[in-house]
Amino acid sequence: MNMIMKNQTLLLFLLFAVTLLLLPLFVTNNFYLHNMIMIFFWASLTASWNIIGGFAGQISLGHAAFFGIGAYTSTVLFLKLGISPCIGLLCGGVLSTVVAAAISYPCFRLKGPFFTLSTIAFGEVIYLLSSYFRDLTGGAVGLLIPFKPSFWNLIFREKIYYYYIALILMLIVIVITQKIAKSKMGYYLISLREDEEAAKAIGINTVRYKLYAVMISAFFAGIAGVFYAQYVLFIEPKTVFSAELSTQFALMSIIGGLGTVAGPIAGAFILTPLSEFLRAWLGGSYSGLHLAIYGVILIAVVLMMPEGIVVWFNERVRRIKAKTTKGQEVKL
Amino acid sequence: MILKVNGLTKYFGGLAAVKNVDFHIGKGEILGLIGPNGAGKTTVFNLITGSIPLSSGNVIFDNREIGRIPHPHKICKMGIGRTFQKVKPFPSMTVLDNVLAASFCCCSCKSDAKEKAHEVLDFVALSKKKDYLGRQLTIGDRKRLELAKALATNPRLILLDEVMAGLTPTEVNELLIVISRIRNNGVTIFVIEHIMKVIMTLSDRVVVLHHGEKISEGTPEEISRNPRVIEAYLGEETASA
Repeated sequence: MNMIMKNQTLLLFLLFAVTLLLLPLFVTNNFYLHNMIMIFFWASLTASWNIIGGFAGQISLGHAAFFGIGAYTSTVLFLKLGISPCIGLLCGGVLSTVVAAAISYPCFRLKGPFFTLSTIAFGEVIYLLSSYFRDLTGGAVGLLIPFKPSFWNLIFREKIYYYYIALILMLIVIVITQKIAKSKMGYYLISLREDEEAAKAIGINTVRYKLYAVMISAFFAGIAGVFYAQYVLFIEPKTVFSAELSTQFALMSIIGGLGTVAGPIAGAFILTPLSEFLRAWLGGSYSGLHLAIYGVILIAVVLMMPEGIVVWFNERVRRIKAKTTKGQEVKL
Repeated sequence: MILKVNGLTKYFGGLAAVKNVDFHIGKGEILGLIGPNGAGKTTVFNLITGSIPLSSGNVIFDNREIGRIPHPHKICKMGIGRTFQKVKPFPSMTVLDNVLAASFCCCSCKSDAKEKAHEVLDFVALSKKKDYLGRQLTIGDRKRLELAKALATNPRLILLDEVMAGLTPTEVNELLIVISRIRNNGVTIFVIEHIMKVIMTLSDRVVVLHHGEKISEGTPEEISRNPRVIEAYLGEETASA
């Protein structure tokens, strides 16, 4: 039984990966490619947020800080020192990880909403610092990356390259989340989320595992930040360090299913096109209406499926299966 | 001697929750800890496991001073397991996963940990419910799960905080058998219990706390005859009975 389920998950994942890898053969329209890229981008971010916010249950609303640090690190290295974003990618991820560890360690002493508030505060501090150090970051004006397409510059004329980079990033994050979920670390993170005192009593060093979780999470947020900078070719504090961005990471995970591997991915695959569609449909006619409708949909989902779409869906499937097996037993 | 406690004291502000308490537990022994509500029994457990820092005194486990280690996870790794009076199952994890999380404490490899978890679930007779979620269990099963989690960490000393409270008489008898089997496996047991029958049948020796102070120590028979104990604790019960 277990073996079958294991293979089922693997099969589903492979199907998912292969479909997306082959998709550009059929879809060449730049608009659709762009939308797919944004979906992968959001999926990577929300899935990496889910490691600390979902599995470990530490709702961080300052995660944009790690995203922005990644974006700024590679861009500043590229513009000031001429270092390739290929290397900047790693530097951005590593710096985000280090900052995440330094910020989170004191914050972990706080529980629940107090932890969340402290992450918001740190996020804001980093936002303000990035505007303040004008010489390094360009201040509020932002930094423009000159369009010089080449692989070494990680800038491409065709969207297809970005498509594959974003897709691979997302697949890596999914695989890592799945590995964590099935390992000792996953059990430890969920345990400490459910009851920290009980987790300590069974020998779990809760602070250490929370740190591991936030570091892995920040690493990928940083890398996604570098991707964003290379894709949009313009970064400014207001966009890459915004609290709104942090909320998005959390929101997609919550809608999709906190603390599950598939949840954040489902969240990104549903919400990204939804907001894009609403904007295209209503954005021109009544300003703000698309946001209002988007909000109503989110509220409805949270009310009807408080544990997220994936958990809700799994529960349905389980019930239908239970019904059919029961029916068979009766027949026998 | 596996555990030795000297002059254990804990002040919460001006209030002495535990005051100058001494006792020891021999290897393989079952020591009972009793006392009226608010006597400081659970506080003693919390002090030993490092959940709260002690004000003064020593806790010596296996010839090592552990009283100044304020990290419950380190104490657990050293070989002291505990259960909580107010049970703490991980509500959205299955029973098996609850125990598995604990058995990772002694086996880092997942297949070993799984084997250990199954073994422990068999031991406390909870295997049938291994796929239930923590929150779906009845109080009796929650207590068993609590026990299973403590056992899965491979303790040499286990602290049981009222594992029998709230159980039916049948469940109490079943759990009594489980606990004596734990002792037969060579684990030392330190138990807080309100049900006299349990304390009397189980314990080799009993320590009595009252207002945070040790008022008596001895075999169950000695304790039940001690006038100070009867006055502080049993008195009420015999009067009402």
